[in-house]
Amino acid sequence: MASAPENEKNASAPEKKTLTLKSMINNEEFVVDEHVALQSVTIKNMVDSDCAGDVIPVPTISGEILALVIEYCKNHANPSASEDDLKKADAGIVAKDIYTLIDLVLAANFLDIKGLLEVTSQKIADSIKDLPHQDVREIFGVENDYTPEEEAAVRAEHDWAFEGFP
Amino acid sequence: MSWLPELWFDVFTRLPPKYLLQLRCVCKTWNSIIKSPTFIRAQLNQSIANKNNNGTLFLRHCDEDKKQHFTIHKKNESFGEDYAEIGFPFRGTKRKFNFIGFCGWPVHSLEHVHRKFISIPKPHHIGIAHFMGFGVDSKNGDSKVVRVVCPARSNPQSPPKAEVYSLSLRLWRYISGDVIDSFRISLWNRLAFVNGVLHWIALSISENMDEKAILILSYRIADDRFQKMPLPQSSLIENREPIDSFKLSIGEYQGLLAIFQNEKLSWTNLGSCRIWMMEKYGVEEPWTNLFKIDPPGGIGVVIGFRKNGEGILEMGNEDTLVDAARRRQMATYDIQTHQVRGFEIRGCFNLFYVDNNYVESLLLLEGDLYMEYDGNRGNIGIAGNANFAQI
Repeated sequence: MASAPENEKNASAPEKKTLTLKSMINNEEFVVDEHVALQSVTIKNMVDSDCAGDVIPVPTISGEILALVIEYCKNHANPSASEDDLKKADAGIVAKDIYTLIDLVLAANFLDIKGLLEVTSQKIADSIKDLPHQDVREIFGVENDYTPEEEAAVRAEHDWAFEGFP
Repeated sequence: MSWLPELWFDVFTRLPPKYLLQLRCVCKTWNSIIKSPTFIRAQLNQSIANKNNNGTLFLRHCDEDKKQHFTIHKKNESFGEDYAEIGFPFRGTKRKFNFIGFCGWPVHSLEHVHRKFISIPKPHHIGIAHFMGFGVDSKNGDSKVVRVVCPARSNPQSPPKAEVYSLSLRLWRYISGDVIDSFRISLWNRLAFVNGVLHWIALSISENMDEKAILILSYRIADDRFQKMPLPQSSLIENREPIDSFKLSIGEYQGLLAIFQNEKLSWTNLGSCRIWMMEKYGVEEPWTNLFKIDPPGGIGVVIGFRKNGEGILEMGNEDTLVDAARRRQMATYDIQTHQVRGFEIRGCFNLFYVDNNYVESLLLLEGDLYMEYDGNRGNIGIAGNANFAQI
């Protein structure tokens, strides 16, 4: 499996099968090897059921985010990459601001790429764990449905956990 | 694209429990996710999966006044100096307990202000408690308390007793069987908690009481099963002398079961110590002879090892011969340079316990455990929090 593409090239050199992913947000197109793109379960299901045309439109994911996703898939499709290499590469991909991470985790979820979903979720957790909960509410646009009294009561149950936070 | 609520669950499992208690204030949905038993178990499992990445060490010791302390040590550079004390999630126990093994420590405040309690009825077995643990059994999703009790001093030849309390059934249940009946555990034996299994070095006695063998007694918390495991007999025999159980203790090294074979100069100074590691779990031979800890002046007692391989020792202070058993000091031992470095944690002899399995959880969010205690019926001791979810 690992050396198959190499062998093909050396033999009769048929063109490697590629897929074109197109961001429907800014119409950016990415040509990727099929085995790289197939790490997305969503794309794999489309290809398997012959629903994929020459160009696969990817709704709601920007070209910037799609590029990160493809970088991740390429790294993880490389059979000679060591676990250590992958860890470093993953860390590089998720070294982004919180808003990019939110887009990335949504993309990983939509495209169904488990590994990317995990590293991005972990990075989001690491990025928010020192923020006051009011900031987290704002970043994720969560509506506060507590009355001030209710919120105070929930807080009072574990007030000690807020030590050092507003 | 806007945020999808189902993605919260996964992000939340990666956050520290203390911070999750803050996030309960964000909105009602978050509060109900964080409080749900499904989430609490998922968070614990995620922490267990991640625990190898952080090298956190849990230490229990009893200070000179015999008050017990639980501390967590994180930083590599300033190990032993920079640590945090954590609270004890059990109440109702006045006496000291002995040894612990745990994972999934319920996070809560050190001061226990306004804590609620979940009451546990009095256990059946009396005697001197040896081990008590608490944790979640991931197979059945039930939280349970495990108790293994040593016989009272008046009857040292009787076997240890074990019982389990299920928080969902609210019942104590005996664990009996031929295996545990054939063993004797000494109160002073250390225990090792490796891969969800408790291990003691113990004496196995044949039915007619005439044959004794030193074996490992193990207890798998997930299915409440006692088993015996062989010791590496041929490796441990020195100069054709029979193996002396008082010179052996059990522990963990790099996640594997290990035996510490001590030279034993005196009760408090074990001289040198040879470390053996069980290569294949449950298989008698071969055990690997890893190295020998042999610093000048003896080593006191080897308590355990950190994830980075550094040894943790309990040393005596030679200047204070009076009350020496209450003035023990902790130290680290570099296995490469043989350097011993003492650090400022002091306490009573043989009451130090270290564990690399520490992770925090939201278990017992509704309150600490409270066990009824009856001073006339023997000493009930509670010891820690075993991770049943790890199996």
